[in-house]
Amino acid sequence: MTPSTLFARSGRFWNAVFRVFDMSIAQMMWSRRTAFMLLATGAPVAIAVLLRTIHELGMSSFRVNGMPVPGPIIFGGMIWLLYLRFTVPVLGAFYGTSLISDEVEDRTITYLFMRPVPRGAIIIGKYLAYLVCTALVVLPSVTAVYLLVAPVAGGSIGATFPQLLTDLGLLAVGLAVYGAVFALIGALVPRPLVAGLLLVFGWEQVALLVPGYLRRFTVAHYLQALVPHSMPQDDTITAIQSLFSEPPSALTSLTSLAVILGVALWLAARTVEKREYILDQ
Amino acid sequence: MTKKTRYFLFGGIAALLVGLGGGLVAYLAFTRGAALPAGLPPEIRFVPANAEVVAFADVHAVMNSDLRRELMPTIESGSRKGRQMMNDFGVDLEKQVNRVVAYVEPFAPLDPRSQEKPEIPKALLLVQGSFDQARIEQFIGERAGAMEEYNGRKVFVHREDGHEFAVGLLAPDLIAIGQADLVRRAIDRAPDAARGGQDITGNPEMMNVIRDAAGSTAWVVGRFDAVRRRMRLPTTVEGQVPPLRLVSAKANVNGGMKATIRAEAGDKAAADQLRDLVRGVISLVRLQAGRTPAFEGTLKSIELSGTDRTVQMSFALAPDTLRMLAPRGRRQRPESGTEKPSPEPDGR
Repeated sequence: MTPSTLFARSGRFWNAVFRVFDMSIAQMMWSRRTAFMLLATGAPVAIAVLLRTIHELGMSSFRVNGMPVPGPIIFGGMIWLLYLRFTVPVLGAFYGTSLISDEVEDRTITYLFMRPVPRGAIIIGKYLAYLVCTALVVLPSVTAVYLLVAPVAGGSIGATFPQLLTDLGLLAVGLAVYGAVFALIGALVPRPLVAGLLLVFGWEQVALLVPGYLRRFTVAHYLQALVPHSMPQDDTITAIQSLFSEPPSALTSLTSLAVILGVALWLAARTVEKREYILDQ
Repeated sequence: MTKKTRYFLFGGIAALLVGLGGGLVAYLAFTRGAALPAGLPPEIRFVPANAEVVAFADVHAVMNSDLRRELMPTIESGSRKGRQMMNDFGVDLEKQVNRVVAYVEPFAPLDPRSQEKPEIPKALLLVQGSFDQARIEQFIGERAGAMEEYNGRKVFVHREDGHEFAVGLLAPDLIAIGQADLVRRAIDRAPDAARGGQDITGNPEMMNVIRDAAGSTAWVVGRFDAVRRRMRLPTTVEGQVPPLRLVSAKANVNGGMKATIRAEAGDKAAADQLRDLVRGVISLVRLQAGRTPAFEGTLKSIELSGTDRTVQMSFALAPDTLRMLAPRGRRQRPESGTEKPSPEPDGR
């Protein structure tokens, strides 16, 4: 294959990816799942508004052992508990698993496959649409929560702004990696949402608790190592988790996440290329 | 893409940019207000303008240095006390601490005419690192530290023999350890504190020397009279030392250690007098220790320099020399091939 042929093929592939992206983003944005996404990202904003209102009214919003907790600490806790452990993996599971399975369930995948585009481009285009769609809802929500909560109880926006950038970056990486993993599950498994939720709330939680190497086979292990806030010691499970935890370095985490992302997307595209989807009659 | 979708996308991007723009403006305003000379830790902002001794150590750099790895068996037992102190606060010195800044404030007796001396130096230690605040709180709480709030920060106060010692959580990554009044004043000097108070950056004389030491792995800068008081020099030696204003020592640690000691004299005559004195001491040391192979390299590396009113002496210390200088009870036998740490003097 000559370089010019390769270049032309690559151009056709990315052109097809863009067309699928353009078509899918509107479908994704105005689907029923959007209501769930708005709820998952709007609830932290509502909590932040409530905390800020209480603070502005002169009451100390959040106290531990009778002492007010500074805003950046509350924000760190919200990142851990609301976004990293819930919103990001769950949105990844809901959207990622549906990229192909929705088309199969609606029996519309035939129309996509009939188009003169590489099959792999379909899942990549849909994946990019998922990424843009979720990132543009999750990241503004995090920024709004930060601006509302960070100045509470002696906290400072100026002093902790770099932490927000780290948080936004890691949440974007989380959405990308979880999305890729669930896109692969969606392309492989008949009931992908159940499998996806089992992965998030079953495998990942258990593997992080077990001492040894199992945690290295989870996305959360690498993602949690990038969080700039200390893990809230809110329950026994977290305490056990932090006891056995030996977080990898930032470079190791980023490299591992990049590998998981690349491999999962490549396998998902390959599965869609090779697999024959049989539609229910 | 429909118009509605486009609006949604641009709305999301605009919301994100507005939020980030607001944060960036706050950040720029914060960093401009807190602009420090390059190489100085931000914790220096908590040091008061009247501090008579200021010290800094890049613990992370020291812990990761080749020198530390090489000397680890020798120094391990010696550093146990400091490590234990950090453990008492729920802090792992090796893994969690990045930098340490310490300062000593001048003692002001209630009656200025009295010759009263402080029982305990008015010193504060600022430890910067990645801490688990909940763990620290639990540790201190268990060790009978009464928790109180001061200026929006948590302060754990321990009272003993009429003295108040405190640990203050100044920021999520910064704790202050020392006398309670010093901890409270450090909180007052926090960048977001309403009251403020002038910090050491407003003291041009000290800053001139601190700026020179900036970027080193460890340094200490102090007023000579304060340093002399603490060193308790013999009267005969004290009489020989010309009048000095400030002294500083800085060290860069990696494979070995390169150290520089600098003194600022009151005038040129005092500087010349000091230079002669140091030159004499160097000659004497060369005569005394020149034949010891471990000190040969160090003695060759000594350089004496300076300008009109400053005298500067620099030298390099190889790991072998540092091993020789380690306290005798904890030193290893250099002739043994397999190096094992010698037992603790107390038998532990």
